[in-house]
Amino acid sequence: MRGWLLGYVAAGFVFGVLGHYYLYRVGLPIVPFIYQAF
Amino acid sequence: MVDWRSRLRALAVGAAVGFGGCSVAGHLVPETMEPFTRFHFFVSPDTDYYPTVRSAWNMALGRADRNKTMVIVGGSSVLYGIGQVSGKSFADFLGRELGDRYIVINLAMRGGDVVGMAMFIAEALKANGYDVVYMADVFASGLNPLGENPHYTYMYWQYRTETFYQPWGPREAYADRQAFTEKQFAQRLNAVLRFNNLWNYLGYKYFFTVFSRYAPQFWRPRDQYADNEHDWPPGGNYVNINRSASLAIVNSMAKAPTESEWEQVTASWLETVPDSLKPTTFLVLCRKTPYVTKLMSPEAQAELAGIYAEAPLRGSRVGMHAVDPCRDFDADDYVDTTHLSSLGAQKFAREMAPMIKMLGGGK
Repeated sequence: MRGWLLGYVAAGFVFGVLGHYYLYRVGLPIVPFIYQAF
Repeated sequence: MVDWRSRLRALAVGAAVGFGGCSVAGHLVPETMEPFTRFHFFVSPDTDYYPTVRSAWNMALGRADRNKTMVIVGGSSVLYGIGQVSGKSFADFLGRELGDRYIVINLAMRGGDVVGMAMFIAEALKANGYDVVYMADVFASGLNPLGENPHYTYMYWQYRTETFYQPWGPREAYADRQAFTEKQFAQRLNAVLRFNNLWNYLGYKYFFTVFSRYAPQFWRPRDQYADNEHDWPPGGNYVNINRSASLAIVNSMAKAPTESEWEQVTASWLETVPDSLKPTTFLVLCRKTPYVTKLMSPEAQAELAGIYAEAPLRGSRVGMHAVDPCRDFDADDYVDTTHLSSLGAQKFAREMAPMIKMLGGGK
């Protein structure tokens, strides 16, 4: 059971790192549009 | 089996640790741009490398010396040194002419202008007590306080979030009037999450993550790429020049601004360069090659000469040194319409060095 959870933690960690990289590579181009819409 | 709530919680914990760990690392990485020559092709946005202001700042601080005068070269490809191999560029010659009481750092960028990395570093060094001379190239046209090239405006927004940032009222007022953009938002976010800093650091030092067709073996860390600017071979200058297009360009420049246009131009100079930097700033007007300008009509040549004569007067009225150091250059001093050859760069450095020394620096 602990092994399973550690697997999920590890998968989450990879997503976290990829999310950080996504901000560097792509950014959040949608935000200014949302800002202007409101 | 583990229930889905525990799985989600484990996933969220892992994601938070991964994302948060990267952000913390981004704050802590010892960014620098050493070994640095200038913003050559492989350490500039041309090949998807967007240098962070902090990396340039750390590099400049590493080279700075309080007992010497720092000469920060900014501006466009002219001062960057297209057509001049590393070691024989304008900045290299200038360093040799000035001697060991000066430190010259070339932070000019192709397609850049007065505002940019170089000016931000210069004003921050000045505020930190260093003796600084700043120089960048201009023509008799207005300046955008945030920089004209949209590929480089991220630098301003990034600089604004840094600890070494020096506010300059007119520029910040201009920036605050601009529409909200993603660049602005992304840099605010980066100030907290430091994604640009972390991934740039890794890309510079360990492995680059973005494919670029112009960078062979794109994954190689950018500090391993050499400055690939090269000297034109003898007789190689002007080979690819389109004479009629070049003539059209210089003819379009030969229209002297009216008095009100001059006022607009100098007002933009006034609000672009911070007051702290103005007394030691050189705005350089480097002339185009005589290879092309000699094809102009005598009237157009006279009009252009008038602009070069007027600009220094206008610069001095706003507290800066606008100079015209390429007056007597000939065709061999250029590699194309605009850019100097190594020969021209050496002449240019010989013209500029005494003017820089006259400011009384060189402790």
